[in-house]
Amino acid sequence: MAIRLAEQGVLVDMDAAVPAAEKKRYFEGLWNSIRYRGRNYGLPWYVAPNVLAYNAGLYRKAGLDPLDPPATEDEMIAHAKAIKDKAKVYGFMPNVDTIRLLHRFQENGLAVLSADGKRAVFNSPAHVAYLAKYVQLFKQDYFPEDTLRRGFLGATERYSAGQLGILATGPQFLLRVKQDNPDVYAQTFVAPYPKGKGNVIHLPTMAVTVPKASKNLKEAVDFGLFVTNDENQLQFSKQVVILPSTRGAAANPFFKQSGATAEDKARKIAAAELPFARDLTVVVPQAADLYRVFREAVESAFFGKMTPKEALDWAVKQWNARL
Amino acid sequence: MAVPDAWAPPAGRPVILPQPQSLRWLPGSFPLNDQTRIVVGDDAAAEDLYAARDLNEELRALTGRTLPVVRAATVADPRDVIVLGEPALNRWAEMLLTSEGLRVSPADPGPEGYVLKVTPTAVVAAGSDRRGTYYAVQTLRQLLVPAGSGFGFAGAEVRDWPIHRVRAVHILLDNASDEFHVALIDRILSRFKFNTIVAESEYVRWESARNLWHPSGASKDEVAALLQAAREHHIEVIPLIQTLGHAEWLYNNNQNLDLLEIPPDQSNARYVYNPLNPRVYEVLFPIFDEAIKLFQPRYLHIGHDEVRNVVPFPWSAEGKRLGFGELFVRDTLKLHEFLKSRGVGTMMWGDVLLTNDFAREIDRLPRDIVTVDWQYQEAARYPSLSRFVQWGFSTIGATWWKPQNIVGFALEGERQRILGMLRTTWTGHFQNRAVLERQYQQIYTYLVAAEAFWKPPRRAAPGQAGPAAHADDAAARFRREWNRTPLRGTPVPGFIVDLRAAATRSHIDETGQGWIGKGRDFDLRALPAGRRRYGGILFEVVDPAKNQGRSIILLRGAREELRRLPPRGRIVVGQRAAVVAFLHATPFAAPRFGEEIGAYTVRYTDATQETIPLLYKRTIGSWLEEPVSIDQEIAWSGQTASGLEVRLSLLRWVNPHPEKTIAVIEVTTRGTDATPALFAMTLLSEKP
Repeated sequence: MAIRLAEQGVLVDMDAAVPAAEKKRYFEGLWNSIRYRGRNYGLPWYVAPNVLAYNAGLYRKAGLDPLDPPATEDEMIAHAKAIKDKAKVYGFMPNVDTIRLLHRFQENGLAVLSADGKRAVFNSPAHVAYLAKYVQLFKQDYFPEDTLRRGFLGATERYSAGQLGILATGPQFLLRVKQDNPDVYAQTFVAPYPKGKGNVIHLPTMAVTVPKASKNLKEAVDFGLFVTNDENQLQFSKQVVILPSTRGAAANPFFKQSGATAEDKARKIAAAELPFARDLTVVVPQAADLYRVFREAVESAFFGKMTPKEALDWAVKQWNARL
Repeated sequence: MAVPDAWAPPAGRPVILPQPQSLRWLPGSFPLNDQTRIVVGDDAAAEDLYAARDLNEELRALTGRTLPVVRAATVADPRDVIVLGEPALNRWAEMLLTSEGLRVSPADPGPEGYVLKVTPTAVVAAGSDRRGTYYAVQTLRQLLVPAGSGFGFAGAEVRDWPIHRVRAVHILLDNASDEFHVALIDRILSRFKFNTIVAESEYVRWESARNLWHPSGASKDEVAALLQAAREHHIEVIPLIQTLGHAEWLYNNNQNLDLLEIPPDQSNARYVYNPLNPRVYEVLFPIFDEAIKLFQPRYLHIGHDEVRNVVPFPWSAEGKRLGFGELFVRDTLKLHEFLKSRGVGTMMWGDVLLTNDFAREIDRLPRDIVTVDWQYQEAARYPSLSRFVQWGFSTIGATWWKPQNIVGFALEGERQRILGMLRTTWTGHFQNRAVLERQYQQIYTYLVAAEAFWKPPRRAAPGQAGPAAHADDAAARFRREWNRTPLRGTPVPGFIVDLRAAATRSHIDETGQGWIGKGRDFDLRALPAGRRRYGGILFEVVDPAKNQGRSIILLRGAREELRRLPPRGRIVVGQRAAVVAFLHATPFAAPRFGEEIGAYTVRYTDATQETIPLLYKRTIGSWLEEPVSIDQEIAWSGQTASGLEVRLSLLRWVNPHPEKTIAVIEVTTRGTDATPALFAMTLLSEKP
């Protein structure tokens, strides 16, 4: 969202507005994640790498060992299939809808753009095979249709209702499970999100932006710096299961503590994932158009309008005409 | 170069939309002359006269004249007559049909069906029922053509009936509805044979809920105006009031916060109500009663979709104990029982019923509920429909605006023999004043739905079969029907402007140096060089092979490939013109709708000038993007060698000084990604 607003030229350039000493407080990778055409347009706030939450009761019903969570994506698929086949509820709702598939490609070592950023390259045989694998799982009814319509909201809802075996989610959503269904929460185990061949996982980054049209620009930027300072991020992290974007806050021993609850475990796991987590948002000009094209291509493949190869070929052409 | 036909009327036969089930073109036409009369049945009631009124409105708008409407008993000789009515109600219809060997009865072609025959001496438009006759006239209106020095109806024999019984459009009412939606009913919906509107009505200014009034909500008078227009065009209106989920309207002006499922101190989301709170129904039912009194509907649509999409539900301890399915069923039954007590049927969205956690509750829902299965994806099949059919619900399939979604789902609906189809319109509340300018694609694709709901295309490739199936065709047709400019049968002379000297680049890219520098797969070689007619206007696109590799005026842009181009172009004209027509596009998109990306400056010989701003997605658009505004007219569309759909826009600028000679027209750019590219320019000596 911040990138799209930056493209429209309506956001304050934070590289210019924020003093160098203040910038250094943030992790460099996160500061750069809100960069468009060489300039930064947001103050990194909090991050939340995915973890795996899974229902130990459904694992047992499926003949799986809850103490042996999937370490790879293929293992996760195998577990999900076993849950569907034996426990008769869906095993997972994979994060392959809309542009989230672009993140999955990168996590599996599959590039989205050429090195110079001028060409889309996500239609190689490996990309096609990856998408085709999920299209096949969809056709075989190993994940529900609303995966493509409702994304993580639908997944969280199903998981909370005890109707989903595995939930790959930001750790903050565990609190929603806890609120919605204490019984399911009590059955919830947490594990690291399985890494793919890319040895990287997506790190969604929330940012504070300031519109250029603000009447009080300096005060607005200062307020953004206040919201994202070490102390406030640390306090916020104690309220919900998220991780801070500043070095000072992240260094607090709180993030290394383990605890008995699922969210305590999730926080520790998420913190341990940070060294190989990166915001994998694909920053491109005409982002709204390119994302729409990609979303349409993915839907076309899943709903049978095109084969996976046709869909990715079509999307690559559309991107290449615009890049 | 001067040409006698810079603009020319459309050639060939009229395109009837939706396509009739059976159409045979006949030689000649039925001419309109001073003796021509519209003949209705002797006992024709007001409702029977709507067809004659529509026909005369069409004639007034397109030809400037109307015809007298007379009763059958006053006609002695069936010549120069347009006979309207069911055969049992108009003896001339019976006689003309018999003499032509045609048959029409309530059972043949059946409900809403009709027969239309146009010969040089008479027209007969006869329905199986009143709506059938009305639709026969809607088809007849589309046969109006210039004939000789006047006008007439093209000769044809049509036998027609709808596949889907319900052919509906969903709209959101606001305080522009009495203007926008009434025009929509008159110019589009009735003309293309829609018979139902589902009108979201929760923001209507209900007397029983004055505390919920929104400044842009429709007044009851405004709704009444819409309902009258709908009645007079044989359209049934079903009110939709969102309940359970999407209940934000219930909390407007910070009201009714005690009805929230999640207390306001625990969540900012105002979305679902608590169906265990009896006060919910104390608020809802008076509104239902008012809606029933105002609309006099057969059904009231209670919404009930996406209940769990925004906030957790149930939230309360008691709600959790009962479970989601129980709460959903209780609320549905309560609303259904109330509506039934008022003699009104219940209609509701079907998505919740398709979810796993509802499977056990299906049997508890009455089967007189009409379920509306919304599926907005462009899919090869729509298997959800068969589930509703198997459960025993009367079902309507609801699409959004993508052509393949509309056509594919309508086909599936035909296979499943469902009640009908609904085209939804999700523009957001209170957008009706701006929808044509900002979300045109949601509106012009009504024509795709009109076609698919009446007669789903039979070909294997849905979306590519009928006259409106291509989105650009539908956009052009909608604009024509909306604007209803007078018919003209004679060409307009004008002048084709020579762009050769000013051209900066080729639209064909053999070497990676043309168009956008991406080679032959991403150029405009599909656009023919030479003279071609687009939107009725004769343009000449320069052949780059005959002009030192240059054919268009493409100006400097921010992208690397365009940085070495000049920032302005100068075209010598030396002519007078009433209209200047520009064929143009941008090679890349601008991030903001309506952004000024450049201008044409018209300099007259008397040293005065006029400026025409180029506004992105209004008067010019990217070659790769579909139009989103009725202001952006698509003149040409085609495909790149790599198979991408591409298009050029047409800007018709009406010169405020047609008496002055135009010396020069300059093109300038703001130098962003969306820099202008001019492909051709033609001057018209008068406005067609």
